This record gives sequence, C-alpha cells and structure tokens, in this order.
Amino acid sequence: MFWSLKFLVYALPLALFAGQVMAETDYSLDSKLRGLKEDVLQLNNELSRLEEELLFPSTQLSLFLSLDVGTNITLNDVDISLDNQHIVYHFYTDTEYSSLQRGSIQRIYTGNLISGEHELRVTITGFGPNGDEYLKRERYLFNKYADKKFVELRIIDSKDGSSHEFQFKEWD
Amino acid sequence: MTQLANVAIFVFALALSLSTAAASSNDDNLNNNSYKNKTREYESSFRPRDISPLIFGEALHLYYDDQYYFSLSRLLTAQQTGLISPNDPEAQTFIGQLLLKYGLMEQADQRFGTIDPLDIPANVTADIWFDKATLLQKRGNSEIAEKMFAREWADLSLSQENYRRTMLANLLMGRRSFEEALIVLKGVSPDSILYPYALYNIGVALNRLDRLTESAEALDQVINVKSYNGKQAALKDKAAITLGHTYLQQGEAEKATEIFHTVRLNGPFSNSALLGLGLAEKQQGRSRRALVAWAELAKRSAIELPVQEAIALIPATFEETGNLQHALDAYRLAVIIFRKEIEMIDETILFISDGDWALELMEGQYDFYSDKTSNPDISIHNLGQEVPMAATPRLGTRKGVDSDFLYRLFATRRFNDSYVNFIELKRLRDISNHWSTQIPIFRETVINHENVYRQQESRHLNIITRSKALARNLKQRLTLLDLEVNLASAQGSSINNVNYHQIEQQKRLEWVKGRLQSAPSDIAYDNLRERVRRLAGVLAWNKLLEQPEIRINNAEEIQLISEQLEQTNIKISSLEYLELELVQRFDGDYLRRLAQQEVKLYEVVRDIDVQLAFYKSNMESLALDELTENRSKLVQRLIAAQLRVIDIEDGASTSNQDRL
Repeated sequence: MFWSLKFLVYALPLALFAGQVMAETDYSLDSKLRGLKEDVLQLNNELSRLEEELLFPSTQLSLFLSLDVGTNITLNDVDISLDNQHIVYHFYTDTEYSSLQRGSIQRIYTGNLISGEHELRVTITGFGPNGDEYLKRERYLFNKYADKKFVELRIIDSKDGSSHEFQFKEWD
Repeated sequence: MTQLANVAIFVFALALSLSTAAASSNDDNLNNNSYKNKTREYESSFRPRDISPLIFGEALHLYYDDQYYFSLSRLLTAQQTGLISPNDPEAQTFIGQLLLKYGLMEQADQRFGTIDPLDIPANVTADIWFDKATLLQKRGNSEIAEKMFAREWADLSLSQENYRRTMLANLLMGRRSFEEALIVLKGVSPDSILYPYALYNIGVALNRLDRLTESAEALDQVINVKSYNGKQAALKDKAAITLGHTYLQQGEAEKATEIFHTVRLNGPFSNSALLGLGLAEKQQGRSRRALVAWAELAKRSAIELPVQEAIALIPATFEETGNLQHALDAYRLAVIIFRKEIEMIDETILFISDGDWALELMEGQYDFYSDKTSNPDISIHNLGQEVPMAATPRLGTRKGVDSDFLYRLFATRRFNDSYVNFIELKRLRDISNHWSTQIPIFRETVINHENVYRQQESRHLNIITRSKALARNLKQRLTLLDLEVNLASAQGSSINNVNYHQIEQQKRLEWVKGRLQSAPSDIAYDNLRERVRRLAGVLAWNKLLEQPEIRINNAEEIQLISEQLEQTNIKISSLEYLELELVQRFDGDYLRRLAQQEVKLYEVVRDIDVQLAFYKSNMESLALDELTENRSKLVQRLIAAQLRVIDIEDGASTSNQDRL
C-alpha cells in the first residue's frame, strides 16, 4: 500500500510532465518536418526550372493528350512517331483513363526539336461500345518555330460514336 | 497607266533597297556587340501565350494519379515561370488544396488569403475546411477539428456530408461520446462507400453502450455488405470478430461460431477468428472441436498473442477433460515453442538494434511517385487519419518478427505517426538525392556547352549574319519579280510572260535581224528578211498562245520559292534564339543560381538526415518496448507451462507411488 501511494506521489507527476515534454517535442518535430517539406518543395521548384532551362530551351516540343468522349469507349494505348522516329508508347491503366475522362490532360512527351516542318503519326487502339477492338491512325503536319511548341492531341468521339477521332491543337 | 505602274515599281524597288541598307547597318551593330546585349529583346521576343489550361490539366492528371507532390510542384513552377498568373483564383485554390494535402496548412492559408472567398465554389470551400480539420486532428488538435466538422454546413454534396459525419463520429468516439456518435453516424447514407465504416462504428458504439443486441445487428449488416475491395473485406473481418465476441459475451456461442467461420483465413484477423472459434466451441461444451481450432492456430508464429493464447489453452483444456498425458505433452510443446519464440524475439531485438530495420519495414510499400497507400488492411485503422503525401505501412517485413507484432505497433498512434513521418522524410531525402546527382550534371553540361560554343561563336555569328543578309536579298528579288509578273499580267503584255526557250529564240532572231540590216538589198536577202519577219510573227503568236500557262508556272515557282524562303527564315530566327539562350546561360546567372541551390540542398539534406535518424531511433525504441513487453509475457507463459509440467509430472509420480 505504501509503495502504491509512493508511486502515485512521485511517478504520476513525472509521467504527466513527461507527457507534456513529449507533446512539446512532437510539436517541435512536426514544425521541423513541415519546414523541411517546404524547403524541399521550394528547392524542387527552383531546380526544376533550372533543369527545364538547360534541357528544354526554346527547342522544346511537348505533346499533351486529352480526352473528350461521351460514349462508352475505352482507350487502350497510344503510339506516337515524329518524323518517322518512334518517340512514345503509352498503355493506359484504368486509373489513367478515368483521370483523362475527368478532364485531366496528360503530358505524354517532352523533347527537343529543330525548327521547320514536322510530321506526327499517331496510332490509338481501344475498345468500342460493343467491346470490339479498333485501331486508328492519324497524321498531322506542323511547323516548329523559334519558341517552344505545345501540341495537344484531343481524342473525341467519332460522329457515329463507334470509335475515337483526333483533333490536334497547337497552343501558339 | 503603264508609266504610272513603272513608276510604282521604281518606288517599291527604292524602298526595298533603302530597307536593305538599314538592315545591314543593324547587322553590323549585331556583329560589334555581344549577343548578351540582346537578352532583354530575347526575353520579350517570345509571344505571350496562355497555356494555363494545359498546365492545369497536367496538374490534375498527376493529382488523379495520386501524385500530389508532383502536381503541386508543377503548378508552383508554372506560377513562378509566369505560365499561370499568380492572381488566378482557380490556381491559388488548387495550390492551396495541394498544400493542405502536403500538410502545410499555414502556407495553404496564405494562398487562400489572396482569393476573394466568393471566387471559391461552395463545395470546394467545404473540402478545404474538411482537409484542414483532418490535418488538425492529425496534429492532435481534435477539439478544433471536431468544431469544424460539427459546424452547420450549407450546400454540401452527399459525399461531403457522409465524409463529415464519418469524421465527426470518429472524433466523438475518440472522446467516448458514443450516444452523440450514434446520432451522427445514423445520418450516413446507405449507398455511400463510407456506409460500411459507419455501420461498423455504430456496432462498436452500441457495444460500448452495452446495447449488445443492437450492436450485433449493426455488425451483422457490415458482414453482409458485399465487399468490392481489400479494405471492405478487412472491415468485414473486423466486424465479424467484434460480433463474434459480442455473441460470446451474450452467451450465444452457436451464433459466435457461425460468425467466426466467415472471417478470411488469409486476412489479418484470422488468428483472432480461430481463437474465438475455439472459445465458442468450448462454451458449447465441444472441447474436441475447440482443440482442433487452437491446434491449427498453434502452428502459426507464437509472437502473435492469439497464438500464444491458443498454445496455453490447449493443455489446459486437455487437463480439464482429464487427459493428463496429452496435457503434459502439450505443456512440454508449449515450453519448447515459447522458448523458441523468446529466442526469436531476442534475435529480433538484436536485429532492430543493429540493422536498418526501419528501412526494411518500408521496403516494398513505398512508392516514390505515389502519395497514397495501396495497403487495404491497415487503412481501415487510419480512416480519416491517412497522411497524404506519404504511404501508410503494409504489414510484414522480410526479416524479423511477423505481422501481428507490427500490427500492434502500427495500432499505436505514436509508432504510426513516427513511421509516417519517417516515410515522408525518406521521400524528401530521395527527392534531394535526385537533385544531388543532377546538379553536377547540369553544371558540367553548361560548361561543356560553353566551351563548344566559345570555339564556334564567331563562325556561328558570321553564318547567321550572312544567311540573314542572303535571305533578305532573296526576299527582295522575289518580291520584285512577283510584282513584275503580276504587273505584266495586268497589262496583258507578253514581254515578261515568256519562257526561257522563247527568250532564246527571240535573241537569235534579233541577232539575225541585225545581220540582215547591214546586208545588201537583193532578192535573196529580201526573202531571208521576209522569212525572219514570218518567224517573228510565229514567235509572237506562240508567246501569245503560251502566255497563260507561263504566267501560272511563274506564279507557282514564285510561291514555292517564297515557302522555301519562309522555312529558311524560321531556321535563322530559331538559331538566333538558341544562340541568345546559350549566351544568356553562360553570361547570365545560371551557374550562380545553381550554386545557390546546391548550398541550400546541402543544408536541407543535413537537416533531413538528422530528422531521419531521430525518427528511426524513435521507431526502434517503440518497437523494442513492444518486444520487451511481449518477451516478458512469453516468459510468464513459459514459466507457467513449465510449472504445470512439473506439477503434472509430480502428480503422476505421486500417483504411481500410490499405486505401487
């Protein structure tokens, strides 16, 4: 009984104090962690800028892909060549496809390109409303001028709703 | 009219020649001065264009792909480079939301402070507040979080309202206000994905209020919900365990048996289910069946409490049924198993103290790009407490102790928080590592580019200047030619609309005519003169006939050359831009900026390492505490089993002596 009381007298305030110190330590650690997160974020932004300036100056070509389909069509994959050189292949997961359906835009390729006239060849495969596989090819000519070039490949429903079609948009 | 047209051509040609003179003067200046003087011109030469929809779309794509960090980073960089306006309310709202998800509430508030609240849609405002409340709850500020969730919210979507109620109920249950929690939870709509969680919490709340029958009904509903994913399946298992024990409390062992059978054998609750199943069977007087369930459980790792419990229950049950020999064997086996487990715990303690246990723990469950967990089992414990931008843990490691031990560890808030922070720090470290390897490459690239460029600089400048002059000259000549052709067509004149063959024929005729002029006047020469006159007539006739075709051909040729010239001009201006970009990089502050970031990076990495070491040690000491506690329990069980072995052996020898 005596030892129990002694424990209560000495140990309890100590435990409470320890809890308080621990909470303060936690708070301070949490602040430090937040500070670090902010620093890394800032650092990442600055270095991303420097990276882009160095690797993709005015010669940059960025290709974006978006989706504006209302019918029950599934996009399977996209294959893109530029001036007869294969540059990108992308297979779509359900998450990615659903993300595109919700209005997001995918940056599918970034590279450097000399100025002048160029040709894009795009092949898409997917499944139509009846589950039939289909394949579609499109060709697009564009001019690369002195500054960066942004081209959006917009996939839309075909008029009969049985497959997809492309629209190309140059963001000049 | 013709005279007027000729004057016009003259004036146009004069104008062109004058502009050529001015341009050459500019070229000279360009040659004399360095390109760096044109940096400002270069910067302003790019046409301003609004590609913000692309940037937003891309950030959204990363966001939907659970890459919150990269989404945020892309938006911030775009804002810094002017691709997105810093005053755009949509951008500020999105960035603020992402900052909240990243756990930076104060920075998020700064963003929201720059926006007129009316510019934020009502449903987004609610999301922001809910994210804030969740963050506050994580930081331990449950009181304010509860007030935020409990507020009267207008215009909430159904899913928002369901989320609000689920979160509020969690907080209420956390402070044991089960009655209030029940009221809140009953408002969650049955078609919501959160409904099974709400039902489960209703079951738990009713259980705590000793309303066992109602609790059982609620939990039974959870078990009968169709599960679509691992999270829901784990929730159903958990509900079955709780319900089974509720039935046991009520003395309804038969129902408990039935329920325990529904738990998945490979789920995290299968051990508890087997233990419960044995208890239920025993309560119904079916000790043999109970022993079968526990024997199955005893084959599993004895670090797990249900397994230890089963190993201890098996011999005790044999003893109760009077089967002393079996009891003795089972106690002896228990001694061996407990001793082995104690050894394993000792090894694990050494492993944790010496090795990179924290990193081992993280292996296979940390994705650099993704900010969300894919682990279904642990998430139900962290519903509403998931820390975005960091994965939550998956149970099990390649080395050391098994899942139940870790499960208990992760169930404690302190360990879970430390682990989440550790993962976040590890991720920050990985991002920093990436840049640490990139910075020297950037620097080397710039220096290499500069060396190559400096060697070729004057040659490049000469080529560009010459090409520009040539292209300009060509352009003038082409313009003049085009003008002449058009004029000739307008006048209906055949003078200019002739082809090369006709010009040659014309020349030859003129030459013959000249010779004939000085020739004597006799019949032969007169005949020849007549022939030449006829030939001239035929040539004129041919010219007239072929004139439209020639005119078209000329126009097409001019058009073709114009297009080719246009491509050449594009090429020249692209080269100029590239030259200017390079010079800006060399003469500008690129390397200085890079060096600045390198210093910052060094400091950040140093701080991260300090924090990583702290959290690692914190996790290790918490794990060691848990292991030590477990070890002490196992030692107690070992001693108890050994004592029973001695007692039974003593009893047996006494009985043998009695018999003798």
